[in-house]
Amino acid sequence: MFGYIRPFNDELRLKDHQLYKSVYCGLCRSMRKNYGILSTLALNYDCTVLAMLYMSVKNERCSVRRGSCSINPLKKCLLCSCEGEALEFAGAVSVIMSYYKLRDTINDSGFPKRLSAFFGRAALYRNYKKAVRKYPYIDSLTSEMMKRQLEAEKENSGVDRSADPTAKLISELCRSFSDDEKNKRTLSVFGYHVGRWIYLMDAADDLEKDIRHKSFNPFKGRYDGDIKHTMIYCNEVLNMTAAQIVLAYELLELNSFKAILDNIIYSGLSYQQKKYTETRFIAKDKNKDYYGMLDEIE
Amino acid sequence: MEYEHSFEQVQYLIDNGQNEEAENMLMTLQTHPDQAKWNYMMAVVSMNKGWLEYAAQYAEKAHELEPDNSMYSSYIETIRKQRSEANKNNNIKSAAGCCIDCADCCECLSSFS
Repeated sequence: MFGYIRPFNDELRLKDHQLYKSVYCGLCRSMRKNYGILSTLALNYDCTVLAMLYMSVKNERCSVRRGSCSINPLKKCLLCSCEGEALEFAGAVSVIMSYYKLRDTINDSGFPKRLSAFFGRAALYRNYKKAVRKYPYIDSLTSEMMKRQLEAEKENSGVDRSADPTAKLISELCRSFSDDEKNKRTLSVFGYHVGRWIYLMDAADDLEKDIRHKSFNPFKGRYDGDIKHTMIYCNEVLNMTAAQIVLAYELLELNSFKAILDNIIYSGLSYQQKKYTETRFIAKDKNKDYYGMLDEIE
Repeated sequence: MEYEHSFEQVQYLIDNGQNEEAENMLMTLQTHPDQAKWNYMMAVVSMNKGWLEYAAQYAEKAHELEPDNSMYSSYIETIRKQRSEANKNNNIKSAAGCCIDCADCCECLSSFS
């Protein structure tokens, strides 16, 4: 479910790209410091964006310094650190959510995947406990979300109902960023649609696999497993969700990281969406896909 | 006439941000599911809740029942536009142009691999 919210690098200025990377590395460093070195296994792009949004909304000051990578000390990189809790918060979210995701994998996957998930979970267990001690409400929100997700999947719900738990979770997390009532409402709408978008992207990405393995997928009910038509439908649903994200985003009061966040919302979302839905069905060859897409636009 | 009055109340609840109450009230009014106004209100409530697929379905239904109503048709027009065009204005083309201009910029090329 991770890694769909990313900037579109081709359009990002170099300095913003470096800043983005520094937040990523800074988050990794902060996770190592706060929750233990194994927690860096749970590092992901979505939580980097979450950290940036947090810093931007709360107007937390951050500084960038040179350092070396947490995993490979020979590699030099820029590290972002901030005065407030943004990186700690985002780290806790990624540890807790990864832990629950692994637990979920153990319950419903084949043997080899289950085995690796089992070891992954064992490795994360202590880091997870540390994160829970610090942010108990993230844990309770996530476990609630997992429970509702299972129920929705059991009832074979449609798109809206099955996307709701993830959407609510991200909505609640974003809501906690601000103290102002008006901002809270905007953030919660923004978060809701971002969560919905992530869930639906994941569902669209897994569609082929789910049809093959006969497992649950919210899009599967339509068009009786005809992938091409279902993909067009997926794109419609995702387009509309992205449109709502943009509408809410424009009302947010942001203080920093504007260029990167703009890039993610205005170009990143649609690029990722194209990459995971349309192009996969135009041609099998990856390079051809990219240029095929350009021809189509021209 | 009685229904008209209830719809006013629903509208009032929606305007006040009491979306759940508005939805519950609409559910009790479900005796006329073929009424365009009921479908339109359901669409608005679902939209506020974030359940966009339901919103789209109800809005389509409202438009279908009363094609001449300009409020319903502009509402469904917005939804249709969002569903189709949000993705059309991506700027992959201009990005590709950037990489032809600065061929030695390896940062730009990273996403091509």
